Amino acid sequence: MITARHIRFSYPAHDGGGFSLEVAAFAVSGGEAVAVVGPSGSGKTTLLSLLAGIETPQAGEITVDGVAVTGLGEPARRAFRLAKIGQVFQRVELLEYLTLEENILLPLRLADARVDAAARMRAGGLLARVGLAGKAHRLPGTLSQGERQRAGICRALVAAPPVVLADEPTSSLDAASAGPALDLFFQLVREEGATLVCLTHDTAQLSRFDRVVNMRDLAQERGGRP
Amino acid sequence: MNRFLFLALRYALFHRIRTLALVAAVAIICALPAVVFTGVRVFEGALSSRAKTTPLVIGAPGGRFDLALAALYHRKGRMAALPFGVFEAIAQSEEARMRDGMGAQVFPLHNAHSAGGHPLVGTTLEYLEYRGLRPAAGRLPGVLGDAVLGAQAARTLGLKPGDALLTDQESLFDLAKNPPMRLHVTGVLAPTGSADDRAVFVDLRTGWIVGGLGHGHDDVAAADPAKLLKKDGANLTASAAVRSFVEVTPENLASFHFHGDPKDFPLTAVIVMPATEKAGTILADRWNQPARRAQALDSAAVVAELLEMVFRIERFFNLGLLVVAGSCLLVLGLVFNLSMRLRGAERDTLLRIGAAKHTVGLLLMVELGLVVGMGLAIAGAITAAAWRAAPAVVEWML
Repeated sequence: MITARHIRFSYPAHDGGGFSLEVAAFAVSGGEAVAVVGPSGSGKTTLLSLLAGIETPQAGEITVDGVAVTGLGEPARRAFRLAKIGQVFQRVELLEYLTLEENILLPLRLADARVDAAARMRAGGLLARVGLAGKAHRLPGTLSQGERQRAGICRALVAAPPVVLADEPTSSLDAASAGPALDLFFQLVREEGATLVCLTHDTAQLSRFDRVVNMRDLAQERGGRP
Repeated sequence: MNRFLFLALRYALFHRIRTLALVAAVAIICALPAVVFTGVRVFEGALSSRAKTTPLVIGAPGGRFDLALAALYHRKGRMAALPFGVFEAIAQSEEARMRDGMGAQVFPLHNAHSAGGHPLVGTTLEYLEYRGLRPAAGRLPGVLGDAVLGAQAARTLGLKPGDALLTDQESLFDLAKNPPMRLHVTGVLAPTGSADDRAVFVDLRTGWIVGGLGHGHDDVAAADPAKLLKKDGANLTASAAVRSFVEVTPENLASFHFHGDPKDFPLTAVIVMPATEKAGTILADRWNQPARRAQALDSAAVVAELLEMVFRIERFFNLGLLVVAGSCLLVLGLVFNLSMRLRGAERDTLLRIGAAKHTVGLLLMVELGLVVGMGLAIAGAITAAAWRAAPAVVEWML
């Protein structure tokens, strides 16, 4: 489902130090849930940006769901991202001026897809599954952080993407809320049959994943596989 | 709906107070100069058209603006009176009589008094005919004490033919002054959109009676001798007990009379329609001689001079407005710039989800377009309303 080979990505930092990431091999099978761990600054978020086609590596090849992402131009990468990738961010950035339903349907609008009754029904269904039924027309500012996080998960899944990339999705929640939120997230991803790559610092949650990949190992030819 | 328009509309609705403030700023910036331009153009049109149909005005020496405004728009100014004899002299002059077959095109005006707060204009029927003033109801004045009302005056006073109208008391503290006179409304003129709509027209002699130059009272010769102070042959001196009439009726009409030489009776102005440009030049030159104790005005020139002052004020106003508009645009730019910075997180989210890099920029452009578009639409509506209301406002101002 996901393969990344001989990736080299770097950019100069403002202080002159710069940053570089090398990935010899990284692979994830379809339907697999993989956790990526590593210290801060090891390039976890950059890896997700490369897989999502937000950043382009200077060298190497990335293929996601049969699409060679590294060979795509900017517009095609955007279309690819909207069609194939669902993203859950560390800090849930819902647009404050849109209702929950409108926020969830945002990827479809950006893809110029029809936001019809079926799309609204799907958004409503996702909201109901995360316990936010009846709050579809509320503005984000009126919701708790946990509710916003759950809405962010719905937004990632609304276009039924084959791949979900999550950047520490529960880091903004307290310990008591993080477990149930992650349960819900896993449940939804599995129900949707999506492949999951999730960055996390929380070692207590690693047992939920099919596999754990350490950033330290990615530079070696083991391809992130155990 | 286009995604940019959708997001821009939602953003504008969410920040509705800020949006309304920006729309109002744009609307005011755009509407003010348009409204001023409209007002000045309508004002210019109204002044100029009246001046063009009143080529030559002759009045007592003094302020030429006062004279022009009094003769053209029936405004009461602090002017000396022009003797009626001047009117007679002009009317009998060769230049004024050149318009053969059309009668003399010389009209006396006496605007010294008012009735119901409206200027009381003593003139001749020829003046009404010349201005195209025709009764929409009733008839034109026939005898002393009759009055015909301009359309606006009738509307404001709520009067119709058959009603009565009192002239205004000119001094509350001087009992020797003439009491108000009761006028008979014989007609209401059709509206013309000019200063005539606000006036109350009476015969020139009625105007003089209102001014106390003529009056009517009981027949002193037949009066009770107790009402006489002195009898010296044919000369009788009546006491205050003799009744003075404040209303002209068929019964007392014959008793109204004037004292003094009519040549000395006051006029506000004489309007002259010279037959030719040459005749006008001769008349103006003749009546502008210092010995004549009069002045002749080219109305169009005086109005142009007046308008030049208005234009100068308009230019200053526009200059000030330009500075204000520039400041407002800078503030608008600052608001949008700050907005763009504040929306950095939103921009990142949109980019990560799959929006193009220019999406947020385009979104801001659409938002700006919405604000400017709504502002322009409101400014357009205000300007259209100003176009519609301007003639009435200008008419009221004049």
